Amino acid sequence: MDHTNIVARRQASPAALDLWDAFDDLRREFERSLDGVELPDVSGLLDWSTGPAIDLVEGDDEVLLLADLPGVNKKDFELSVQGNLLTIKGEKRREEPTKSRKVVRSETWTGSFSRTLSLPASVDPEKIEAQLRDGILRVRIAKRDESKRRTVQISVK
Amino acid sequence: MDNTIERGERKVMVPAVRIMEDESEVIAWVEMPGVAREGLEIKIDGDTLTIEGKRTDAIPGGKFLLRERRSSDYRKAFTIDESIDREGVAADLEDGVLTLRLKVKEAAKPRRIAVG
Repeated sequence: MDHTNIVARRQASPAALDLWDAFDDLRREFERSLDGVELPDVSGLLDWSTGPAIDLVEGDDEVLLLADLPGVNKKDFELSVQGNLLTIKGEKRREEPTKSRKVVRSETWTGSFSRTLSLPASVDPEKIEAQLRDGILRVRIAKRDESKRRTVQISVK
Repeated sequence: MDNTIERGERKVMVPAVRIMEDESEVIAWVEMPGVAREGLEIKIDGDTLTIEGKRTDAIPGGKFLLRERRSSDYRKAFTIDESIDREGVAADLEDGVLTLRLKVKEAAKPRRIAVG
């Protein structure tokens, strides 16, 4: 199990201990990457940590976009569509260190982000619903009627 | 209607963490997108503080045109030493981020001695 000493100040050599933690996390990260997770082919190997991770999933009736946006508030977020290009952008805020308050560990990305995705031709960009909840953005884009999967019964004579 | 499927075998992953500290408290932000209040469990057992986050968001079903996210539950354990006041732990979950505030015991704070 993963253990991180939350109080670095108490350790004689916090850096050394944290390094083992970091190696451990790295190993787990690597193992996970081999465990059925497809690496994105649109970005570099480690790009996922510099901005929100995104899934784009095509279902029968709609296309679903999911993005991990922990700590992003609705008021700091914007979604726009132009043609079949969908853009999400915003700002992920965090508490900055002060003279007396120091950062001991930081594994997350922060700051402004922007990503543009091209939507499949099957969608109707006029029919979009978006929800930001518990740190996950969920955008549903309806497919055009002619693109929806239909089962046609054909009688065999 | 939503194109989602039931979550299958539950896997866990280690959430990303940011920790800051000063003389009187340690603050940890733990990123757990997809976890709501009812799915969160925080336990202190001796010198181990464990956080478990069960996700309640639905996993999409269909053809993945892009797949970068993971949808496992979260688990993270912290070692807390004697300097932390076990009674003074505050937790708040907002927008998928858990904020933990741990108070440092009075006796463990550095003392300033005035030079007369």
